[in-house]
Amino acid sequence: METRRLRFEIDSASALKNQNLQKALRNATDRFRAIRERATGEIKDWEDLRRRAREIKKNTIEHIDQYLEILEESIKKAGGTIHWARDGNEACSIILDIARKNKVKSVVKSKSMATEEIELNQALEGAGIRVVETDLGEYIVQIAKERPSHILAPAIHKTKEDIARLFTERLNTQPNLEPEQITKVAREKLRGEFLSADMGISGVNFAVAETGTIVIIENEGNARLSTTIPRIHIALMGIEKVTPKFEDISTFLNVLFRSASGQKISAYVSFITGPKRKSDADGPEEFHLVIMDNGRSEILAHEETRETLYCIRCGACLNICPVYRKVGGHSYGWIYSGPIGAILTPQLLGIDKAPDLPFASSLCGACKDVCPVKIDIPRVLLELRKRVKDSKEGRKNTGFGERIAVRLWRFSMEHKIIYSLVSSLSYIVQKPWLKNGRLRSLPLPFSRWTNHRDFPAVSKTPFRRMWREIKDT
Amino acid sequence: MSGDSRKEILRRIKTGLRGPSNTIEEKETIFPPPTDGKWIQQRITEVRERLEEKKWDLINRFIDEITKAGGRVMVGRGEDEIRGFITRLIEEYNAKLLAMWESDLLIGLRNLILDKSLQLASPINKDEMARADIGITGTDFAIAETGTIVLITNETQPRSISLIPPIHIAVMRSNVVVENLDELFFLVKNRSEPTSCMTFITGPSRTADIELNLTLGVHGPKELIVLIYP
Repeated sequence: METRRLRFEIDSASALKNQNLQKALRNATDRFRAIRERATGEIKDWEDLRRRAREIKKNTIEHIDQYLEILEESIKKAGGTIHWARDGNEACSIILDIARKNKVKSVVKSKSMATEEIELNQALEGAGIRVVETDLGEYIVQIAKERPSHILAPAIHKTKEDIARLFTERLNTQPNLEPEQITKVAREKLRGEFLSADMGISGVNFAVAETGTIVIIENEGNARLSTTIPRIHIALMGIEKVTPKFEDISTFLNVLFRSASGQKISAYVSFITGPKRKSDADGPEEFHLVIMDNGRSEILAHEETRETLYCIRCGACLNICPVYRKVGGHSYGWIYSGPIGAILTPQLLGIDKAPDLPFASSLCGACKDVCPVKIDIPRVLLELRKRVKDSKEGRKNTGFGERIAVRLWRFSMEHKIIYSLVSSLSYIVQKPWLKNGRLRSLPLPFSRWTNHRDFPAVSKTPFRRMWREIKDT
Repeated sequence: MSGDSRKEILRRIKTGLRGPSNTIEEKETIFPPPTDGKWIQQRITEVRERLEEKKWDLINRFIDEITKAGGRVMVGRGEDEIRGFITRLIEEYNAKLLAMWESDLLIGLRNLILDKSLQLASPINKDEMARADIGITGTDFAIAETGTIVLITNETQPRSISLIPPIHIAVMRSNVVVENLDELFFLVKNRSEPTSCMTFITGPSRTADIELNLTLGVHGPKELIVLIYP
């Protein structure tokens, strides 16, 4: 698990200077946004669907202990085995135990944020087990020895030239391969891995309590291969993935793809209920489901931020976020990035590990508008900011200047005359720094703002006067 | 150990949600009892009748959507014509080793293949499957709105046949089409026999992991061909 303090300010500053990254980010997020807009605009009852999806999530989370118990019973009935893990270490050791007991030498993995979260690959490799990521993006990130930078497109931070170079360096391929050739090389390499692996590990998009079915969504077919060919299948899920009824999946599928990739549906959706039946010709002989807490019950315990757990990991908030679009996924320091990362990471790792993240937002609210389950991310961000400032370290880190400034701001906001005076004065004082109607670089302490973004100039006509005039006309 | 963790996690959740007093509601209140069987049967009949009425509209919609997703469709008048399509496709792809479901729908085809001295791969043997040129399956359901075929695993319908070979041919009767996801989930939920695996397939295997450039056949089949007949 991640234990160091994340460094958003430093990492984002270097991301902003990386021209290659800026190009890759701009291209990708623009395209994601365009296709999402088209897909969600296509259906009439989009808002209705979002409301339904949120309603299901809300009901589930409020009674999640009961649904988890029902899920457990159903999985057992289907011949699967359930394991409970309080934290990442326990989840890793459960999976390692199963691997050891079965003398597993190699594992194929399909994309799973939960396994990234607990650093399962390191745990398995530490025990001498070969682990291969099989999603193309994850495979690229794995051979580059990096981390995924986007929930949906892990290698979004790389241009195709970057990837071609990487393949030449690490896999001895011809130089300057085109995307199709790169894909072909990966297919051939990974086919061998699938056929020889003893164990497949997957994540879980949804787990249906009443039927004991886990749902896995993908486009490539690597999750199907990972859960079909090896003798053992282990699926890892956070507690929040459970959903009560089979038909809930219909609603989630309807909102998920349109938000994520702008498709109506992904190329493959697998519904897996236990191991292969005796009479089935293929499929894994053993099925294990690991249900993991790892900080989620703590999120649950705070009513104000509980809705963080509604997230279905579509990635729409990343693509729309003006901050993510500039700084990219790696700046968020951990596996979850963008607006959802800014609220999830501090809650999962502890607010003292990621005190910058709740502030990595302009609170513009675009994330809330695109979220398929309508998570009020800006509100949760504010709540977390409050928690940061109320923490011992937060108090210590709030400088004397900041405290005075906030007091003065509050005082002027409460006194009409002072407020008008300050704003008229600012209009005059700002002049030396004014450039094309914007304030681009101010002296200390205001430079801490203008180092990263400009500030609109103070208007000559105060809003109050404008308002009076508008009202009169 | 796992028993302790189970207890501990459930306790954390309960206190987190409902405080230390932890008053639990009855399970029945959160999980409505199963709906009356007669009502369900009636509803199934209604849905089926409605679908039968607009079957060919839905088929047309299905064809549009799966084509957009990169699938290829051929429509035949009957089994003979479908067999003809398959023979042509086997020649087109110069296939030698085939893998096939053993379902009733495809029994006739097996004989045809044996006549042509083609080889059949066994789904139990993964190395043989890895060499298969074409996988031929039936189709249990099709969803018009999304252009999806739905395959349900059972003893005669192994999962790897639609997955491992580079070409997937799915034979489909026109009466398996439903309009949307909601209808599909309703009908599947009320099927009597449970399955270890159900798969939705919409077009060939695809990836966009390199600069969001679409590339087909990264892991699953490069081509999906759906053969429809009444």
